Amino acid sequence: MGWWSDFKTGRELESARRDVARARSPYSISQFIDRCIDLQKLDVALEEAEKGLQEFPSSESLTEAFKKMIRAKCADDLKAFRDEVRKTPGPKAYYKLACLYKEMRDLDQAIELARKGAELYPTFEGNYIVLADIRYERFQRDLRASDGLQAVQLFEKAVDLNRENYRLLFQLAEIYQAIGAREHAIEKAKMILAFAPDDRRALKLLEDLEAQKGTKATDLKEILQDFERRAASGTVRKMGALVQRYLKAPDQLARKLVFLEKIPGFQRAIVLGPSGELLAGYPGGPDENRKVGEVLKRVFAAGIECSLRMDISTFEKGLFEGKDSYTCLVMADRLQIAVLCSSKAKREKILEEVHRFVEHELYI
Amino acid sequence: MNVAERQATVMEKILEELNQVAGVKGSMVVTKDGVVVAEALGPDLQKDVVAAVSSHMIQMSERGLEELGRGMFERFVLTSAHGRMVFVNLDVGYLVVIIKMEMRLGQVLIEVESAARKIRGLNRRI
Repeated sequence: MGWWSDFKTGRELESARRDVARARSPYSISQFIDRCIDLQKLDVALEEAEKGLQEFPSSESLTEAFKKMIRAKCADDLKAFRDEVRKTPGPKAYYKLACLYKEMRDLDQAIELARKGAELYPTFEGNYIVLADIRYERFQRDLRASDGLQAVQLFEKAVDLNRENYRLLFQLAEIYQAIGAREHAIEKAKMILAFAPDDRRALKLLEDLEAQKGTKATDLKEILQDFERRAASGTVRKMGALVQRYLKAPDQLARKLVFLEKIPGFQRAIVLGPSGELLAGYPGGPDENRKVGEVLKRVFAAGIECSLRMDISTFEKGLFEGKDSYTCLVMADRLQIAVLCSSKAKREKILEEVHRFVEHELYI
Repeated sequence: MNVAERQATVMEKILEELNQVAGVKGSMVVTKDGVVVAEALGPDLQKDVVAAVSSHMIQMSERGLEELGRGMFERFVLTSAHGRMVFVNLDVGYLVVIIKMEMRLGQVLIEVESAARKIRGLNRRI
């Protein structure tokens, strides 16, 4: 490329960057990332995707943008690792490919490969670690005891196979510390010190743990159930920026709902808080919207329970399509948003506008 | 083999065909009360759990939509962080399909609707 095209690309990037700065939201950042991809500025796109995800960790647009970037970046590795599994299979070949899929956020594929790897080569710890990492990630997101228990069991299995894996032992000790299983954490810290007696991080961890108060329970299942109870009562999970903002200013949220009127066939929008309380509704008075909110709260609860019991993690959204109506449910940072439309609306248009509302309007 | 058994066998064949579509993890025809009419679930899915969870979801949704005056749903697509579920109303029951997250939904929905049409046709013929 010549200097002129470099200059033009630079100018376009600057202009796109200014657009994001004017109205910073997950949606505008993901638009910027798409622009970077068009301009072949993949490094800038990746940097922005990573930064954006740190700022808005549960954003759908940014997760998608990040996946797109990682896939483009890892395409060569993917081909090479797949060939390795096919031509010279071994425990590490499965492990490497599973790790790559995990990085690409194709978790189903990662689980399938790691399971196969563990089945074929049960004495190699790597594949158990991949499975444990994925389960632990889910535990961090959903805070369910069953996920935590499975993750810990898989990590412990990996520890049994290699008792001197520093990273693994440290991670396990930190997990135990986070859930309040002090004795288990101390045991892991001591295991590290058995082969690395001068390790400063491990010494510091042990010191912190010994100063910390542990729970009375020693059974891991009990400790995790206690953790789940604390999580459900809201003492573990911090509220995100979006929910904090609108819990303080529900009037602002009610004004934003007017944006949804641009959907042809729009009938009503209701937003419930983390406990299912009515935060805002449009149109309609508070009493009417509260009644609608009560019904929607039960439907949201069924969706949340269905997702968790089916082991597909947190409920994100749902669309009911009827003969005369569409009912769209979306979770955004623990806000429960329902958009009711008539059959005049087009399915794609509803999804597009609701997505834009949740990922852009709510953030600016 | 009586009519109901024959019908279930044909339905299972339709579900097995549906499961061949990339991204489909398993499928089931279940009544609103959770009675399994036919199923073709993958190794990771437990029949009783899927039936119970689906029945609860269908009942709660139908009740809620009815209270809101929105009638019964024809299709419901549920998206979670690590997977999707599609519920299609077959009039005599529901087709429930469990889908991997990474798959493009549009293509899978076409196949799901096609399977639903075949099952509805089956009910009419018998």
